[in-house]
Amino acid sequence: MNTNAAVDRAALSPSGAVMRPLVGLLHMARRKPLGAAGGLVIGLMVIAAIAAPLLAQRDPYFMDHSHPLQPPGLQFLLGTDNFGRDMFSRILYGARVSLFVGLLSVAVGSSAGGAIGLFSGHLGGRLDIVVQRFLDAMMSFPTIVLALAIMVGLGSSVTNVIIAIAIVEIPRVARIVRASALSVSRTEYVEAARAIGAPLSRLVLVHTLPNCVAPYLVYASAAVAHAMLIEATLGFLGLGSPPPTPSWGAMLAGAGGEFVEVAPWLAIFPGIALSLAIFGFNLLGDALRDILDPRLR
Amino acid sequence: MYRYIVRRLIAYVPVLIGVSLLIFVVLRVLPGDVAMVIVGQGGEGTITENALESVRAQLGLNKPLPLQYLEWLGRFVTLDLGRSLHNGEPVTALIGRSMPATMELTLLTAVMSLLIAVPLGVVSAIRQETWLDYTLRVISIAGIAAPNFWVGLLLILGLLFVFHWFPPLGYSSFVEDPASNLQKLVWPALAMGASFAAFLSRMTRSCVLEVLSQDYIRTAWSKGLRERQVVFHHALKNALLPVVTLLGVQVALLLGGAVVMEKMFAIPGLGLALVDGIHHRDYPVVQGIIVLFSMIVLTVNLLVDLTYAWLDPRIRYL
Repeated sequence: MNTNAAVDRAALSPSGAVMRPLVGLLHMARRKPLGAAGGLVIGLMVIAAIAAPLLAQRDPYFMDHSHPLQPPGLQFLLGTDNFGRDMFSRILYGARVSLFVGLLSVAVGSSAGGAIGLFSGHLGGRLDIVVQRFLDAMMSFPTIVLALAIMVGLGSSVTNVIIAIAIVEIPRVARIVRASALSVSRTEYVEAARAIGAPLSRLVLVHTLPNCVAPYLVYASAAVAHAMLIEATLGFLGLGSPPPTPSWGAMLAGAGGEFVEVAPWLAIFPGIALSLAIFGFNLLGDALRDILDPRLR
Repeated sequence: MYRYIVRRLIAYVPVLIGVSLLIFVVLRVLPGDVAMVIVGQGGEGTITENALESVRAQLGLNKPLPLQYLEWLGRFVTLDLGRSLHNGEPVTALIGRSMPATMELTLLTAVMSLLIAVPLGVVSAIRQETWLDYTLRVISIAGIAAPNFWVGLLLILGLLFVFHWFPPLGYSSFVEDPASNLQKLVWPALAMGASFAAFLSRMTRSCVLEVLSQDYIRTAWSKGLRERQVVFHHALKNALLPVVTLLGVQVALLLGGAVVMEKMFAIPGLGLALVDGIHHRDYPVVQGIIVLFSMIVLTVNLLVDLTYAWLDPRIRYL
């Protein structure tokens, strides 16, 4: 490994607590440039989402009726929509919505799905088979259709979008965690722990769970990308977060129809933002998969 | 082989039950008071306790839930899907009317995506680690990231600004006017197919790579066969097998994509009916179409499993 000796010395010094993880990240970035690119894109997106009030000069909800459908220029960086709202601000605030919905829905879905998968895989037997069948049933729906059905049942709001996507994610996470839990629960050290009387909670939490984390992490980044795509699709169909919430999907819906000829920027920029976000998370997931692949260790 | 078929069929029964339970819970239990929705459509003044009670009695909503579920299930099994709340049309008629468009769109998309993905994937595999491979791989990753409705928008934009031509919307029957029918369907199929092709080309690439590393391919090379013979005659058939079966399984993705494309290009298929039904809170229509979709996906999955077992005898003993 061609490491810089000075950097290594710095990493071992008292300020190494900060330097060591950074150096580690740099090494990983060099090995996996695509994953690093993905991470960079996501990092920029997170910064844009958090700093949106600072970066956006205009209120994304304000309808400037004297400047509808302005092309991108000095006054409005990415143009305005048919209501006169500044697209640049809307896209920045849209990053907030997308990230919030994407991350939270995956977090909620993973907790539920992970718990189901852990116990189903660890305990095995008939419980496992029954749970598996139910999960197969949930996965037999096209994801959009399931999300739509749940939104019909619950009604239109950001919270319900998060719940709907979380429910869609539950069987997928459960399946991945179950696969790891199944194999770990049959190893000898778990059997030994069981033999010396470890309670089920300890077996599951201390032994099985940590070994399920790696495959799950790989899936999780793809899941966030998937969640953002579903949120955008729901918004596109008019069934996601209610207007005037700046959702990238809803912006793309508003870009079609009669405006597509006169205002192509309405269609191009939200789509680029959405694609970049999904791209970034997918690249990160690919890189994580390569790094965490046990065959390469 | 027959024992495998029977085992598979038996395994699917609990999945079917799970699906019906899920739909029942999501569409009947979650929305709360369906009676309120129905009565409320008559306006504020008509929401009286009597009206609500009579609607509830009519729909059987005042019976215990398990009984409601069994009644609901019974109706579905006898193909009584109810009538649309919006215009009173029997849901079965609506489905029959909308199905051809969706089926054609899905089929066209599958064909187009195969036509795009397979050559790309094969080229990427046989020219592995070259600039061509890297470029194609980046394009395919980008293609997976781009949402299909955005690709559709970009396609329309491209057609508008390059050819000054807006693609026709709507749908005309294939039997009556094939030219017009294809003209209308090729654009959504292309948009959906492009994003699907990105995914398929990655699959094709990895499958071809796996096959090319096999011993019988090495034998073919050492025999002195030309690249074209080795790849097309020997490798391709074996490499495409998992890709084609995966296509069958991905019908769920195709159906989901069809929902969005039909809304965008105004194609009167099942997807558009579903979205409109949701906007109008038309529960019988939404229920019927969702059940149909899941039946299609489950049936295709079953057929793919059986085909796989027929083609690869080792699976029959799993």
